[in-house]
Amino acid sequence: MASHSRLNSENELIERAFNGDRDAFGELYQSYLEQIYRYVYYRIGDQYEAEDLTETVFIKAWEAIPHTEKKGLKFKAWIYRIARNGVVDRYRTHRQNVSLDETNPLSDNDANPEAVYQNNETIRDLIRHVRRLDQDFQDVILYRFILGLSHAETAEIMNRSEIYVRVLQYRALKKLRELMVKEMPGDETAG
Amino acid sequence: MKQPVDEILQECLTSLEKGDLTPDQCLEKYPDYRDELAILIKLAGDLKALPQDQPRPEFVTSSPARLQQRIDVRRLQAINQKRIGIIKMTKGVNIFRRPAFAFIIASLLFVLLVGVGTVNAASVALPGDALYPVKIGLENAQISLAGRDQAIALRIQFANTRAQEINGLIEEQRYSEIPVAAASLENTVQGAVQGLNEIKNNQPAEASTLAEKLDTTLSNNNTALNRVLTKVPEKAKKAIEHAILVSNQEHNRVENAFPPASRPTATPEPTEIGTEATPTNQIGTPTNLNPAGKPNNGHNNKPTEEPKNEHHTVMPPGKPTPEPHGKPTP
Repeated sequence: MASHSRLNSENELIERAFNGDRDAFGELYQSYLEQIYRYVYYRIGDQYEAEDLTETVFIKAWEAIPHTEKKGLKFKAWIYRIARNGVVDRYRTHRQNVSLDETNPLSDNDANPEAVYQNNETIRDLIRHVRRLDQDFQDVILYRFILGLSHAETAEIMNRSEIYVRVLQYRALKKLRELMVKEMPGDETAG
Repeated sequence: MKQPVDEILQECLTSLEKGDLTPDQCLEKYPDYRDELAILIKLAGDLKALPQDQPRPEFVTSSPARLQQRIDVRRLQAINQKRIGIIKMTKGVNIFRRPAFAFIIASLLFVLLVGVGTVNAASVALPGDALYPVKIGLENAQISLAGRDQAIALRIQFANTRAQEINGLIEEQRYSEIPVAAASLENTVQGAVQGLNEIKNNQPAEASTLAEKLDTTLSNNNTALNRVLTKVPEKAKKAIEHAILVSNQEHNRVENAFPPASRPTATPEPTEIGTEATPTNQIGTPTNLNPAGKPNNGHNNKPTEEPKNEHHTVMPPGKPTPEPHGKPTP
């Protein structure tokens, strides 16, 4: 019941935002801010850059509203798709400066997770290995396991069928496992 | 027909999510895939247990207002891009690509369109002034008509202008306009760095020289902005702090792409606002202020003299400032 009324209220906000109501868009922003930030942060690994890109994602969404068909639009998938494109653009622009292998979400400038997980090499390794995967593999792992999105939502965001996402999910986990094992040749049971 | 393993994995993961099955029950259900499933289910579990990083609370608090401001700035820029459409039409003619000539043409067109007095008045306009869009339009015209490297040089110059505008707003106590000016400064700096990345491979010498200029401008701007932080109300302060953070990020990006050792050695020359602050590679941040709000720059051992005329201290309009005569601060 609560989720139904939340959905209704969100649909209303979307309706208003698509009619140019900036306050309504601001409310949608606040609802999705943390999710989009988390996605961007895991993909690029820099807190401040993630904040900046998160805002940019919503600016692009606002600017895209006049050119977007409202009918049947799933806002969540739409905003995630804009975030995904934003991350791709960011990598394209800053390819020389940001290496996927070098970035680390538990970096020194990030006080809270650093304090909590400073010695947790397993977590660091896991994130580092996720970042070494192809973009689609990274995305499916982020959406499904780290951000906790459903299978259907993931398929919607990635603009693919659910069967495709299911296969992708399996391959991504397998590839991730391979990468982890490759770095620990003496420990085949690791993971 | 044998069920594909990806489907089995999905079925197990869904059952685990719903609490219908335990991992062991799932493995027992599919003994043929037991080993592989055990590894992948555990990996999925490890991924789900990763820390759910949250954005900084101060970002969450200040971000909605800044988003609206950034939307305003971009709308303003878009309007001006349309206004200079007529000037852009000249872009195909080679002679217009020479920045000096392009600037003259752009200026003449603006003068013809809006009058000499308006252009003069616009040059000193601040965000929120009626003529500010004219000023931005003229700047956009220059950038549009310049070559790639000249466009970056212009953006660096305009980043300096944006910082001066922030100071101008503070002097006039127009604090509500500061977030817009700060967001505009961020856009300008980011545009310059993006431009540098674009020419890095094809014009390495020019890129390196411009990187040096940008570095100096960012250092000077940030030193000056840090200094005014204590003079402004909280909302404006947050906007300035964010602009400083963005400048720091861009500074780091420039440092990574163009390490100082690889840059051409140039004779230092005073920049428009850089006369009071000694350029260093260490950009001040909001956190490295002493209680009086002055930057504690570990690389700069020169004594800092207290400003006599604040109007010219934070963002002096052009003249180099002589060496300070005051006693060194202990």
